Amino acid sequence: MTRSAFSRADALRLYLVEGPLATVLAVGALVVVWEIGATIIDQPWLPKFSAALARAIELFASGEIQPILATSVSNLVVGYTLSVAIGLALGAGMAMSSKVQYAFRAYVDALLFIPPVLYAPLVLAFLGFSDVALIGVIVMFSAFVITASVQTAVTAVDHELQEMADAFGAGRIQMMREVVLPGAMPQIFAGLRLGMGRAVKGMIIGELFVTVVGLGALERRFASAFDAVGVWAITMIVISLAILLIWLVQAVDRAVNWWAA
Amino acid sequence: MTDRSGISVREVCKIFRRRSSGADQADGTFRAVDGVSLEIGVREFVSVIGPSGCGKTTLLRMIAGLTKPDSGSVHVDGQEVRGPGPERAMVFQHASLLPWVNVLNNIAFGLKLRGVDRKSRLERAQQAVALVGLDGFEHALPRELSGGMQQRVGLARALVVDPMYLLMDEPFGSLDEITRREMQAELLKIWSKQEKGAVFVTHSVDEAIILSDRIIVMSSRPGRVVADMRMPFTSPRSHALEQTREFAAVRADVWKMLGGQSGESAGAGTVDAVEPIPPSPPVDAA
Repeated sequence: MTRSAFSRADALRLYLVEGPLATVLAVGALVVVWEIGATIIDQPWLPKFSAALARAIELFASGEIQPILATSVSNLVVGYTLSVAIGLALGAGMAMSSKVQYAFRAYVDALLFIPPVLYAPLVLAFLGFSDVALIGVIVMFSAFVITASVQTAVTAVDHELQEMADAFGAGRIQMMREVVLPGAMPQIFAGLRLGMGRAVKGMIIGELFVTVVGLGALERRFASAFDAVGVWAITMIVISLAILLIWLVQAVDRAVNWWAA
Repeated sequence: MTDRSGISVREVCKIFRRRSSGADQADGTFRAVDGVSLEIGVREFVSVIGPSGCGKTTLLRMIAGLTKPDSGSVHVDGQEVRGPGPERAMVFQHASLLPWVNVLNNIAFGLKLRGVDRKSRLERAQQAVALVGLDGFEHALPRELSGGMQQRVGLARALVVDPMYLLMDEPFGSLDEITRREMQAELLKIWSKQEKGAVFVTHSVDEAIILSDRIIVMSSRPGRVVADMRMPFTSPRSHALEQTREFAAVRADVWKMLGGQSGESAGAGTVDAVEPIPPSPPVDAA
């Protein structure tokens, strides 16, 4: 009796084919509504989708946006990576040690609930108006939602499984590597996805404050010139970037947590 | 470990604290296990039976080294138990399989923890697959298996580390009756080829009689041993036993111990199945 077992490849195929298809359909529907709506309303603040798209393409064609995008994305990658590192270490630490939890809980909660826009100017002032500061804002936006998710995920790992591993003689490190981390992974990735969303927000908001670099600066420039088409074009680019990044996180999620699909 | 003296439980007590209701003592505690002593032989299959809350699982966990007794001690082959050890392996009530690895890797888990290299641990796991009748399911994930098959994996995982003693905590408790009997038959078959000791916690009288050389009956609150009964049946046993008059007699005796725990001269030793007792209907016949 042979059996075709569900495998990692199955999980990935399901995700890579079905996910994007659904996204395209959903976005396509919005685009149609937008185009028709803009034609009917005919207001300067709502240009047609086709106009915004044309401007976005023009930004790429002229080569104007590429260096801007590169700056923004590289800050985002560094900031997000730092956030993941902080989130994993702090979240796991808080879940496994009550001392660590008591030491950091108040701060994590506070940073989770206070809108980072409030203190982003302070971070920027403190770190200087540089890439470091922009990365700092991204970390402020994203690290703590990841921390909270990791903490919950590690705490929620099946205690019966941990006991089983204990009975079979697992040491502390084995317990972590073989049971706790794999068991926590699905929920950790939920946090990584939220964290990515917030990192994109942090990137834009930081750049809006600094107004000299990145997509945020370009957005600010268009806005002050009342260039609605330009603002919409930037928004579209940011949305596309966000969708792409979240989709990437989800792809890694599926590869790691294929068994939970 | 050359000393093979079996499992020796000496006067163990375990007290739990209750937050709200249900405490038996004025200080809000209750004695889950109260002064239990037991000797379990090297190749003996011993079942521990009792009503829920009688501390049978707690007793097993203390033998496993997962729970520390508040007083008294447990020795396995002359060594005091201070935690889990390689000479004991456990089968759990809810299989407790890692949902992210397949059957083969689940079976090999104990070996992996002991540092056995990948190739030989998978080879040994493959042999265990055959032993518990899971051929063809090596690469299935636990969630693709039925409850009975999951327990087979749990059993294989415990057998493959080749322990001296197998500790089983109601392993068939959550299975349906048909699967349960199937698993009992399977366990008897496997056991006939093993030279191991076993402590088997159950709340099924028939299961205990079929599987065991000896049955320990416990009472609840406090958890004490009320009877230690040697089974009159010789191995290899099978479900055919259930049709015998002797089985009915033993069953009635065990039930008497379970029911009339406070009265009578509980704690009597061997069961002498002589009195013909009206054959009880085979309610659980599959």
